[in-house]
Amino acid sequence: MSELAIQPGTSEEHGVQPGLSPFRASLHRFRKNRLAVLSCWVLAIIVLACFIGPLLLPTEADWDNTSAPIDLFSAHPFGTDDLGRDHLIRSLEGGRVSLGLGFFGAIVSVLISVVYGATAGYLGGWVDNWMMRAVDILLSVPFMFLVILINVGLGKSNTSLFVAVVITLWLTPAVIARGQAVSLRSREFIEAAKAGGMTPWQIILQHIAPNSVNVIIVYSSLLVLEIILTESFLSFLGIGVQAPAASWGTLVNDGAGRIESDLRLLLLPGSMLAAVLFCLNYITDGLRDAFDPNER
Amino acid sequence: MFQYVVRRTLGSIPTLFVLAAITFFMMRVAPGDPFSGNRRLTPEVLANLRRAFNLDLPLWEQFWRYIWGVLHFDFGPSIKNRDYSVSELIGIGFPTSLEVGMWAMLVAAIIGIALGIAGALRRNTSVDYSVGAIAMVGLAIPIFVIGPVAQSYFGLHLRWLPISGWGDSWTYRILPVLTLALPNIAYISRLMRGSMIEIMRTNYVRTARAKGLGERRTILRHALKGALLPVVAYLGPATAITITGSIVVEQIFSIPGIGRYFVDAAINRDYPLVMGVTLFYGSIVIFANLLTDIVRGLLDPKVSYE
Repeated sequence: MSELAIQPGTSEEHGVQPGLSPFRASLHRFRKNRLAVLSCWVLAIIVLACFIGPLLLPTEADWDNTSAPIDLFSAHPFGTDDLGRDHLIRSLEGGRVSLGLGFFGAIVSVLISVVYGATAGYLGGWVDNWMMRAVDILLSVPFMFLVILINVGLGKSNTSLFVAVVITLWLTPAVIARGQAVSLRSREFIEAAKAGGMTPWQIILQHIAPNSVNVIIVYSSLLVLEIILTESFLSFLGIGVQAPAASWGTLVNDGAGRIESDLRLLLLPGSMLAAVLFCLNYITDGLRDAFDPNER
Repeated sequence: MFQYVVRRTLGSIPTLFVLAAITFFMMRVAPGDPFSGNRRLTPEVLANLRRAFNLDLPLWEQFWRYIWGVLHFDFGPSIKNRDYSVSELIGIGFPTSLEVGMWAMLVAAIIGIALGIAGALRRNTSVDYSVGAIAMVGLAIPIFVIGPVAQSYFGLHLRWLPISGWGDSWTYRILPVLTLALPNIAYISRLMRGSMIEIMRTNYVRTARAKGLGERRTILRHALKGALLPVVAYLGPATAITITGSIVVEQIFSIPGIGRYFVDAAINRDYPLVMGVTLFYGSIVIFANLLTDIVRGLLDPKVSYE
C-alpha cells in the first residue's frame, strides 16, 4: 500500500494525522462513521449468536412442547413449531447456513475475481479483450435465471447452491479489479519487478492482485449482502437449501405458508435476515465513503 | 443513431446464443429427464415418450434442432403442460406478468423520483432522513419477507385487501405492485437524491435562479431534466430487478403469470418451457438495456453513439 503516496494536505482536511498510509487513513475514516461501526457490532453479535448459540442450547425436538407460545421465561423463549423444534434455535441454525454461505462465498468470489481481473488487466491485448468480452456477455444475462439454472442443473445441494452463487457474482468485482490492474501495469515497481526477473504470473499474484484489494474491499461487503439475498431468494422458492437443513430463506417460506396460524414463524427469521441486511447496507455505505477515492 | 441501434441489436445475438447454450446444457447436466420421476411408465412407453420429444437424439443434435426451431419462432411443446406449446403458455401468462411489472415500474419511478427530490431539496432535515429510512427499508428487507407480512397485515388482520389471487378488481393489484416496486423505489430515490443535489449546485441552475425564475420553475424546467439522467440509465437494471422479483411476487400472491412457470419448469425439467421463459425474459432485459442507452443519448448530448 505504501507505494500509493498520499498528497500532502489531503488527509489533514479529514482530521487524520499526516503520515498514515491511504489504507490506514481510510480505516480511520470508516471508524468515525458511527452507523457503520454500530452495524459491525450488531452483525458480529448476530454472527456469534448463530455460530455459538446452537452449540450451547439443546437442538433436539421437544415432543412434549409442540406449538409452544412465546414465553420469554420458559425453556423456549420464542416458542416451538408443530414438530416441537425451538423457533429461536432453528432461526439461529438457519442463520449459520445463510451467513456461512455469504461470507465464504464472498471470499471465494473476491479471490477468483481479483486473479481473473489482474490477469486480464496486466497481460492486456487480445487476452484482455477476450477475457473481458466473456465477462460482458455473462453480465448481460439476467443473473437470477443463471443461478436458478446452475443450481437445478447441479442437483439442488448446498454445494451446487454455493457454486451457482459464486459463478454469477464474481463478474462485477472482476471488472473493477481489471481496471485497477490496468492502472498499475505501467507503475515503476512493476517495471522493477520485471527487471528483477519475475515471471508475469508471479507479478500478477504478488504485486497486482494484492494492490487491487483496496478497491475490492468496498465491493466485498456488498457481495456478502448479495449472496445472502440470493441464497434466501432461492431457498424461499424451494430450490436453495434443502430440508431438513434450513436457512433464513426456507424458514421465511415456511412462515409465509402459515401466516394465518402463526406469524412468529415468518417474523423471527425474517427480522434476523433483515437485521443482517440492514447492517451490511450501512457497512457498505460506510466503506464506500471511507475507501472510494471518487466520493471523498 | 440508426447504425448504433442496428449494431447493438446484432450485438445482442451472441448474448442470447450464450444464454440459450448455458440454459440448454445446464438443464441436461443433472441426471434424469422429465419422465424419470414417473414410476408407472413401462420402459416401452418411456422410450416412446423420449422419442416423441427428441430426447433420444445426441445432445448436440437436440441443441441445434432447438436453435433452428427458435429461429423460426417455434419454441416447442411444453412437456408437463400437455397440449400446450411454450409460446401458448407464455401468451397466456405474459399479459398478467406485464401488467404487474409495468405498474410496479411506474409506481417505483413516480414515488422514487418524488422522494428523491424531496430528500435533496430538504437536505439534512427530517424529510431527508425519512426518505433515507424508506430507502434503507426497501434495500434491506427482501420482498419475500415484506410480501407475506403485508399479506397478513392488510389482508388477514385489517381485511382491507384480498390476501392473494387475481381478479378483475383493482384491489388485487395493490399489494403485489407495491411489493414489487419497493426495491426499485429504494434505488431510484437514492439515485435521484444524489443527482438532484449535484444538479442544484451547477452553474445553469444558478443562472436560472439569477434571472429571477421561481424556485418551482427552476426545479421543474431546468434541474429535473439533468437530474433524471442517472434514473433513466437505471431503467435497464430496474427491469431485471422487476423480472426477478416477479418470480417471487407471483408465487406469494398466487398470480397466474409466467414467473411461476419458470421455477416449476426448472424443478420438473420441462426443458422447452425453461428455455422459452429464459430466452423470452433474457431478450426483454437486453432490449431494456438497449432502450436505456438510446434514451440516454437522446437526453444527454454528451453521450455519443460510438
